[in-house]
Amino acid sequence: MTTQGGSKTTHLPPPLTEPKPNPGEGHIICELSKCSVKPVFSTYRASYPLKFISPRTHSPHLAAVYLLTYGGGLVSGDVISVKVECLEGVNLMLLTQGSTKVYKMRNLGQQRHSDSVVFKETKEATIESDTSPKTTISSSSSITPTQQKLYARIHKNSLLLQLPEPTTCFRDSMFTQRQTFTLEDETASVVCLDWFTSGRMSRGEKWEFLRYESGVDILMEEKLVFRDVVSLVQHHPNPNQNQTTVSSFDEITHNLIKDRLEPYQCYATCVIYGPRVRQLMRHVLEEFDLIVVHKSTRMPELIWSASVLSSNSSTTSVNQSNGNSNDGDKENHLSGLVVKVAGTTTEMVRNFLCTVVLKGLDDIVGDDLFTRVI
Amino acid sequence: MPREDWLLWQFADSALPTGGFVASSGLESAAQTGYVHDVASLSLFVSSSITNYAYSALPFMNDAWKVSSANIIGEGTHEEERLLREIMKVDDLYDACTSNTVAKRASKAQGVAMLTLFGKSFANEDSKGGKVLDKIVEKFKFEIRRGIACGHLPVCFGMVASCLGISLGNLTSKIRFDFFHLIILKLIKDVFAITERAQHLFLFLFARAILSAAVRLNIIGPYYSQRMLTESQAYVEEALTKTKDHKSEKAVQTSPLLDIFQARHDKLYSRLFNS
Repeated sequence: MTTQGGSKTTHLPPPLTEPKPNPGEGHIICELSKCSVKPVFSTYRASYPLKFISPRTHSPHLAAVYLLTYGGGLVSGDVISVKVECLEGVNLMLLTQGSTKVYKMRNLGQQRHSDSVVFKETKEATIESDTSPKTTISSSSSITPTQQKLYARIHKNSLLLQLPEPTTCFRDSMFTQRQTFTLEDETASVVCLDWFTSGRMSRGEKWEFLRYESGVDILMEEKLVFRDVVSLVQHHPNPNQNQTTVSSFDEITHNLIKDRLEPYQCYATCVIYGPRVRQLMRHVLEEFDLIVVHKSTRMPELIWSASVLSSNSSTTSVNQSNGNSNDGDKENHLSGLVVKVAGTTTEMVRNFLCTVVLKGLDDIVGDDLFTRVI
Repeated sequence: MPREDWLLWQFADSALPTGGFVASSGLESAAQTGYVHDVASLSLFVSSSITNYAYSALPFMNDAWKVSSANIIGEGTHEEERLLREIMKVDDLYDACTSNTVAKRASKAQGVAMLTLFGKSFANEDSKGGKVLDKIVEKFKFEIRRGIACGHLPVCFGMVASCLGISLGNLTSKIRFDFFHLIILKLIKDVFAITERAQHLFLFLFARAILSAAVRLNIIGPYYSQRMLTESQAYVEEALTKTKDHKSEKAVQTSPLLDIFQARHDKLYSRLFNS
C-alpha cells in the first residue's frame, strides 16, 4: 500500500463530539431528511486506510457511497471494518472503484529461511504508514491476514445494495471477509454481491493466493436465515506445519484450489432478499426456469444456479421441478434468492450479472448510476 | 465381538434402508454438464466432494453427536426439552447454511429416513422404558412432521450414532456417583472413540453413495468403483485431520463449483437420481 499524498482525513470532517475510529474503521448512518425524500448521512466517517466518497445521484430516493482504500488495495494486516445503518425508508448503495486487490503477505520469503515461526511485520507497517497516528495495524506479532468486515443494519422499508467490484487475491495473499446484514423486519431488503477472481490473469497468475475466505450472513430480526461461507485454502504439503507458519506459494506442490475451481476464473454469489427486490428475484427465476441441461461433453463458458430462500423453509419444500405450481403459493414463500455464477472470464460474469441478476435495478438506482454499477 | 462393531457393519451394509441411493450429490449434474467424463475427473469430483462435505456437513454431525451424548448426565422432562431445543438449533443452522434447494431436499429426505430406520430397527421396543435420547428422537420426529424442524441428515445421523454409541458405553448411574471424576475421564475417552467412528462412517457412506452413483451412471464399472472407494480413505483421513474438531459455527464450503452443479440438478433433461 502506498501512501501517495496520504491525507488521512475523511470525506467529511467527523463531528467533534464523536471519537475518531480505529484504523480501517468506518461508520455510516443514512436517514431520510425531514424536508426531502433524499437520504442524508447523519454519521459518515472513515479512518485511514479506508476512505468514503459519496457521488451525486440523479435518483431522488437514493444515496450512494464508494468504499475506497488508499493505494487501491489491501495489504496483510489491513483490517477494514465498516458499520452501516440504513434508517427507515432509505435506499443506500455501496460501491467500490475497481476490483479489491489483495497484495501478498509480507516477509514470506524471509520467513522461509528463518527459524522463527511468527511474523514480524509491525515494524514495516509502522514505517509504511507513518502518516497515520495509529499504526497498530498488527498489534500482535503473529500473522494477520487481510480482513474486511461489514456489519449492516437495515430498518423498515429500507434497501441496501452492496455491489462491489470483484476481489482479486494476488499470489501469496491471504484474505478473510465477513458481511452481516441484519434486517429489522420483513419490509427491509438487501442485495449483496460477493465475487472473486482467480488473480492477475493478465500475468498468468491463477489461483495462486494462499487463502481466500468470504462469508455472508443474513439475519431476520435475530434469526439467521442465510449463511454462505466459501473457504479456499492452499494447504502446505508438510503436515507438521502449524497454523502460525505460512509458506510462499512456491512451496505448494499441488494447487488443489486450481483443480477444484477451473475451468472457471471468476465466481459470484448474489443474495437478493426482501420485498423491495422481489421483481429481481422473479426475473432471475424466470430465466432459471428456462434452463434445460442436455448431456454434453463440453463445459459451458458460464454456469449458474438459483435457489429460493423461503422464510419458513421447514414447512414448505419448494419444488422447482414442478413448473405448474401455484404462483400465488410460490410467491408467499419467495423471501429471497441466492444466485451463484461461475464464468471463464470476469467480463462474462459481469455481463450476466448486469443483464440477468441485477436487471430491473435501474428502476431503483437510476440509469446514470446503473451504468457505473459493477 | 463388541456390539459396536456389529452395528458398524450393519450401517455400512448397502442393504440398510436409508434411501441414500437416490442421491448422487451433484454427480449426475456434473457428468451431464461435461465436468466428470473419465476416471481422473471423477477422482477429482470425489475428493473435492468429500473434502467439501467434511467442512460443510461434518461439523453439524459433530455438534448433534455431542448434544445427544450430553444427556448421559441429566434426566427428566426438563432436560429432554433442553436437549431437543439444542438439537433443533443445530438443525436450524444447517438449514440456514444450506441454501442450495436440491441439497436441502436431499438432506431432509435422508435425515428423516435415518430417524425412521432408528425407530423401526434400533430403538427400544418398550417405549416406556426407553432411554432419554430415544424419547428425544421421537420428539424431534414429531417436530419434523409438524414442520417446525427440518431434520437434516448430519443432525439425524449424529443423533442416531450417539443413541447407538451410548448403548455401548455401559455406564451405570451407580458407578457414576461412586467414581465421578474417573467416569468423566472414561466418558471423554469413549466420546472421542465413538465420534471418531461415527465421523468415519458418516464420510464413508457419503463417498460410497457417490461411487455407487458413478457405477449406475456408467462412468466406471463396479470393480473400479471399489478401487476408488479404497482410495477415498485417504481423502477422508486427510479431511478429518482438519475438520474432526470443527463445530457447526465453523462450517464452510470449499468447492463452490460443486454447489452450482448440484443446484442445477432439477434442470437435467433426463435424470436417474433425486440430487
